[in-house]
Amino acid sequence: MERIGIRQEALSRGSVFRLWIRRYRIWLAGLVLLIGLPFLLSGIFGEPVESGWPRFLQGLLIRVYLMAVYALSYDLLMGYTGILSFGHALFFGGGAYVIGILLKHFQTPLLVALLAVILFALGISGLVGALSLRVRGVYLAMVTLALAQAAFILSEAADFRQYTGAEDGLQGIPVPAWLDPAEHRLRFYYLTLFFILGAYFLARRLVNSPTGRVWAALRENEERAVALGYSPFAFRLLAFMFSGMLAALAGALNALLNKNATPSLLSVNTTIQALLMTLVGGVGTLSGPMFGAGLLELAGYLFNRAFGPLWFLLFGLFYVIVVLAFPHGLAGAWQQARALHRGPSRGSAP
Amino acid sequence: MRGTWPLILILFALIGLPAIFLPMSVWASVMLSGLTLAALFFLVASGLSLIFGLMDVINFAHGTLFMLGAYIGWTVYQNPRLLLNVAPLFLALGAGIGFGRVTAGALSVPRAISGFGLVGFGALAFWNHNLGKLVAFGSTVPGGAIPTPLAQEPLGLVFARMAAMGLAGLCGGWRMGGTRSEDRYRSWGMSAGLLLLGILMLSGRELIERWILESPGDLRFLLAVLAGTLAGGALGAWMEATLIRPLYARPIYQVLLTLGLSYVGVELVRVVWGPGNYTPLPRPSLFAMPCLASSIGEWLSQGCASLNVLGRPFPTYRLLIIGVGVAMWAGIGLLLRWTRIGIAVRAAVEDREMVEALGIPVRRLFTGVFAMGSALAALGGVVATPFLGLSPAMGLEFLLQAFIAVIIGGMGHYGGAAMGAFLVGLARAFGDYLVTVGIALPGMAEAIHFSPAIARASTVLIMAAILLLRPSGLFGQKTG
Amino acid sequence: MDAVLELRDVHTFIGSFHILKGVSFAMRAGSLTALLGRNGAGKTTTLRTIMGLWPAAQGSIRFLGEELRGRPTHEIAALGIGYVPEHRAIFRGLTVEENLKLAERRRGDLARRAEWIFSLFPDLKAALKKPAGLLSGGQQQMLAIARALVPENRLLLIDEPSEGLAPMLVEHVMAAIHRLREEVPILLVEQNLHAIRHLADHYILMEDGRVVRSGPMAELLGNREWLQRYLGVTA
Repeated sequence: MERIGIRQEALSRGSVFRLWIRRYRIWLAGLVLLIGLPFLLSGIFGEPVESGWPRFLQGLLIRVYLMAVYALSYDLLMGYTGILSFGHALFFGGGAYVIGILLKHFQTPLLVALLAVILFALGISGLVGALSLRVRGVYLAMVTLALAQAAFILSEAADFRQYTGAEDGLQGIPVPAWLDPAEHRLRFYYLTLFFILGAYFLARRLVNSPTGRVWAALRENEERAVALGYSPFAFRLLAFMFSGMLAALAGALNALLNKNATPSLLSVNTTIQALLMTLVGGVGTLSGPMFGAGLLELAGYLFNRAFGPLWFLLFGLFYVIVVLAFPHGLAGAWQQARALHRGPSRGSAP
Repeated sequence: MRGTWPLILILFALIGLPAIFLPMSVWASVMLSGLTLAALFFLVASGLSLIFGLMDVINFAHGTLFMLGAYIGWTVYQNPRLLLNVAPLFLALGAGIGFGRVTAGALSVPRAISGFGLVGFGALAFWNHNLGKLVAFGSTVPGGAIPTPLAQEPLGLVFARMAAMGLAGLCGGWRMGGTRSEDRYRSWGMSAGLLLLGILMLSGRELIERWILESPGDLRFLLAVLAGTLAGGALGAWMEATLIRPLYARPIYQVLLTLGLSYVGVELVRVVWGPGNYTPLPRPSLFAMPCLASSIGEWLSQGCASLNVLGRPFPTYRLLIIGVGVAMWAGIGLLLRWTRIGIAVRAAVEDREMVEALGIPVRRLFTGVFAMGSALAALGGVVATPFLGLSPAMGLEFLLQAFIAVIIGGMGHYGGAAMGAFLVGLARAFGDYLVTVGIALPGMAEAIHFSPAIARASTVLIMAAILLLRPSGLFGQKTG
Repeated sequence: MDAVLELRDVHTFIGSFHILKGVSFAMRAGSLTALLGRNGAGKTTTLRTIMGLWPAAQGSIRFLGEELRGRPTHEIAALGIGYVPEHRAIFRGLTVEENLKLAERRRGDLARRAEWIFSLFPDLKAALKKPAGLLSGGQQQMLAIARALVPENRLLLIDEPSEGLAPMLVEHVMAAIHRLREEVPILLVEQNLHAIRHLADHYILMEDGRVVRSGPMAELLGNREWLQRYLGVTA
C-alpha cells in the first residue's frame, strides 16, 4: 500500500482494477494456466485435446482436483476446527453411492441427484457429528471410525445387492451424455475445475468469517470461546456438516468420473488418504492439503504402475514416516529447513 | 453405583426378554454363541482399554495385532516354511536397529547416508524375493508332506538377505539416534539375542519344519498359540518402545500413527499371505471328532466336535474360546487386584507422575502393559482361527466391535471392557439369530430376512444409544 | 561438606516461561528447612525440578554427592528422596494399604516400618482397607506423608501440607512432621508461617524464581521488615 503511495479516493476505476490484478497476479496466472492446460498439453504432445496423452492427463488432473477438495474438506475439520475424525470416508463414499444409486436405479436428473447428495451429506454428517461430538479428542476419532466402518459393512451386505452391488460395488453408473467423461472429458475437466475453485473460495470465505474465527477459538482455547458465549457443539456441528458436504460432492463427482462406486471408497483406506494428503500438505492451511492431494495422486499413479499391489504397503509406510518425522507436513519441513538455512540463529530453533 | 440402572435394563433386554420369548434350548445356544463372541471381543477390548487407561493412547492397530496373531499362529501350524524363511529377516532388522542405536553416539553417521542405507539395504534384502512360492504351499495337510524344495530359496541366499536386512536395520538405528547409556548393555544383549535366534531359525529351518509338521496336531496347536501370542506381545512392545514413545508429547500424532500402523499391518498381510481368505485351522483333538456328545463327560472322553445343549448341538471348540476368555478375564483381574505390578498400573492410571515419584519406572510399565494388551489380542486371534478362519479384514472387524465394547463400558475401565464385550457379544448373537430366523412384525405376511452383515453393523446402534445416554460409558469417567 | 542437597544456579522452563532463574542453596544434614516465598515465587517448581518432574535446563542439583539433573524421576526417587506433592496426590482408587504398599522400594519395607508409621498416624491403621478417596482431607494428607516414610528415605520434600486443612488438623500434621525431623532431613514448602515457626531450623526465601535470603529460622522471625517485604506477613 505504502509503496504505491496513492490515496484511495484518488484512484480511478481502472487503477483499482489494476491494483486488484497486481495483488492477485499469481492466482490469476495459475487460473489461466489451469484453464488453458488441456490445450497446452495438446500442443506439447501434438495430439487433439480429446484423445491420447492430453485426454489421459486431463483424467489425472480431474482426479487431483476431486481429491484436493476432499483433502480440503478434511482439513477444515482437522486443521481449522481441531476435530480429529476418522470417519471421513463415510462422506466421500456416501456421496458416491447416493449419486450412483439415484442415477442408476431411479433415473434421477443429474442436478436433482447432486442436490440429493448435498441433502444426504448434510443429514448424515449432522447425525455423525451430533453423535461423535458428545465425546472429545481421540475418543471422537474412535466413534467416527466405528460409524464409518458400519457403513462400510452395510455397503458390502448382500441384502442391498440389488442397489449397491454388495462387494462388487455399483458398476456402470449412467452419466448424462453431455457430461460423460468418456465422451466429453474436457467438459468434465472444466466442471471439476469450477468445483475446486468454488469449494476453495467458499472455504476461504468461511474460514475468514466470524464463524471461522470461532472455529479457531474453539481449537485454540475452548474454555475461552465458551466464556465468550459460543456454543462449541453448534459451531463444531456446522464444521462437520460443511466439511461433510464438500467431501460428499467430491465423492459424487468421483463416482461420475469412474462410473462406479465401490465399498473401498467407504473403507478406512479412504480416510487415511485424506489424512495423508492433509499431513503432507500441512495441517491448518487451505492450499497445503490441496497440493498434498496433487502430489499424492501423481506419485500414487506412478508408484502404482511401478510396484503394483505393493504400492499400498509403501503408501502406508510413507504415511507412518510422515507422521513420525514431518509433523508440519513436507511443505512445513521444507520451510523450516529454509528458515534454518537462512536465519542467523541456525540450529537453535525449537 | 452410577452405571447400575442402564446396565440392568440392557442386561434384561439382552438376556431376560429373549428368555421369555424364546424356547429354552434356542435361548441357551444363542447365549453360548454370544459368550463365544464376547470372549473374543474381550481379548481385544481389554488390551485397548488398559492401554488407554494407562497411557491415553487409543491403539487403532490393536485389531491388526489380533489379525497378525491369527496369521502367525496359522502359519506355524500349517506352513512353518514361510515363517522360517521370513521371520529371520525381521529378527535381523530388529537386531540391526539395536546395534545401530547403541553405536549411534560413537559413530555419528551422516543422516543422508544412513537414510539411503536403510532404504537401499531394505530393497536389496527383498530384491527378487518371491513370497508367492512360499505362500502357495500354505495348506499342507496336518502332519502331512513337506512342501517341495523348490519353494524355498537356497540357504546362502536367505542368509545374504538376512545380512542386508541387518545392515538396513543398522542404518535405521543410526538414524534414530542413541539409547541412554544405562540401557546400553541390555540393548547389546537383546540385539545379539535376536540375531542369534534368527541365525538358529534359519540354519535349522529344515529340521524345525520337519519337526513341527510331524508333531501331533495338539502340540502344533499349542505351538501356534504360543508363537502367535508371543509374537503379538513382542510386536506390541516394539511398537510402544520405538514408534509410540517419541510421540507421547503429541497425542494426536500418536493416534494418527496407530491408524497408519493398522493400515500397514493389513497391507503387509496382503503382501505376505495374499489377499484371499484362509480356511479355519484344524481343531485340537478334544474338539475334533465328528460326533454329537450328549453329556460333558462323553465329550471329554470322545473329543466330540459338538455337544448337545438342551436338544441343540453346540460346537465344543467354542467352549474353549469361552474358557480362554474367562480365564484371561479372571487372570488379569487378579493380576490388577493383587500384584504389585497390578497396583502400580491402577495407580498410574490415576496419576503417572506420582507413581514415577515413588521410584517406579512408569515407562517400563507402559511397555509392559502395551505388550500384554497386544499379546492378549494376538491370543484372541489365534484361538479364533479354528472357528472363523483368516482374512485380512478380520482385524478391523474385531477392532470395530472392541471399540463399541469399550465405549459401552467406559474407556480405561477394566471391568467396563469386560461388560461391554459381554453386551456386544450377546447383541451380536441375538442379531445373528434374528437375522437368520427373520423378523416378523405383527401384521406382516412373511418375516424379513437379512444377512449377518446387518447384525454386524447394527451393534453400532448400541454405541449410538450409549453415546446419547451416557457419553462416558456405563462405568467410565474419562472421555479423553 | 555436610550438605544433603545442594542446588547451584538451577534454571527451569515450563513451556516458554522462565520459572526458576538460577536457584542456588544448600541444605544441611539433620535439619528441617522451610522453603518460603509468596505465591508464584517458584517453591513448588523447585521441588518438582529436584524430583526431575520438570527438567532443569541448566545448573546442578546434587544429593549426597550424586548429580540429579538429567536423571529420570524414578531413579531420583530410588536414591532415597520421598516426595509429598501439593494437593496430596494420593491414589484415590487404591486402598490405604495399597497406597502404602506401592511406596515400598524393597520387599518388606512396609512391614518393617508399619509400627512406627502407625504410631505417627494412628488414623491410617483403622482405615487400612478403605479406598483412599474416601478418607477425610486430613487423613489423606497423613497418608501422603506416610507414603513417603515407607521406604528408607534420606530426604523428604513436603509441599504445603497444611493447605486446605482445618487448624486443628494442621496442628496434628505439624506435630507428626515435628517428630519426623529427628529421623530424616526435610525440605518443607509452607505458606502458613505460623504453623512452622517453631518447627523449622532454617529458612530459604524465594522471590521471582531466585533465592533471596537464607539462614537460621530465628533470624527471619526476628526481622519484621523481611517478613513484611517477602511474605507480606505482619508478625
